[in-house]
Amino acid sequence: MACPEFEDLVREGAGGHAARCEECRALLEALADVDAAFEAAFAGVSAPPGMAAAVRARVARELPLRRPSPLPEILDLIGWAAVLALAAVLLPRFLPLIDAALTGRG
Amino acid sequence: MAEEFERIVREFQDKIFRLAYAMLSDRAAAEETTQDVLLRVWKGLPGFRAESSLSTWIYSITRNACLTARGRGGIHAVSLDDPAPLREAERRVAAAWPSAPSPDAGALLDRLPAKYRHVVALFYMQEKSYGEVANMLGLPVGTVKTYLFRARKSLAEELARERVRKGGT
Repeated sequence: MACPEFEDLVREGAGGHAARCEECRALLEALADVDAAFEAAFAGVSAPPGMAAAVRARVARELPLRRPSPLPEILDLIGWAAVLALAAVLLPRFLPLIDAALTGRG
Repeated sequence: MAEEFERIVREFQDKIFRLAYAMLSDRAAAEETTQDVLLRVWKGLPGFRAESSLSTWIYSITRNACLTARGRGGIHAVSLDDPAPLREAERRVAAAWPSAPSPDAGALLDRLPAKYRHVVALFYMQEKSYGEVANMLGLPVGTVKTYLFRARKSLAEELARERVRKGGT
């Protein structure tokens, strides 16, 4: 009897065709050994215990680099200083007019 | 954001590490890459829009980080797509295999092309979940199943032939 395709052989397991065919039994045994080797090597692999702490430390190191730039505050300050200076220059010119207007009304 | 990031670290650090380990075949490089990935996630989190799922985004960052890490050249992973490393890997495996009654997982993986190797390693790390492996590698589930089937079949056939040749069990 011809040997089944590998997929069918695996589906049948040791009780099917492999029970009567030494070659197929050897193939199934080899497959079981391959699976066992991978299980032993890779099952339960996880990140090392200190991973979260190491990441937190790297984030903390990055934080100062990401502190917001002071430039907007500086520009704000310059802007307000300019407004006040302009007011200081213009106010004496307009004060007599304001004063006259108030006196005339009175 | 800090709480959200802590949750991501808790939920994804193992998965990122496994994906990196499967792709790089080097534990130290996988550790370093996992840290790099989580840092990139932290930086990118404020701009992350839920157009893709969070896991898809994180795995995509991880795969790119692994490709970059491999490109830097410090990784010892052998690409079996190249003929010279393939011959070298075959020589090493031939030396390691004959007397060993139980095959060594590293030697087995070295026999596979890279695209199969990633799927196989990740499949056993991820408790044999086809869906999770597919999501992590950005592959369709059908492709994962096909790669896994071909890889296991090829390795089992080679191992069985090797044992017959050496007269072992």
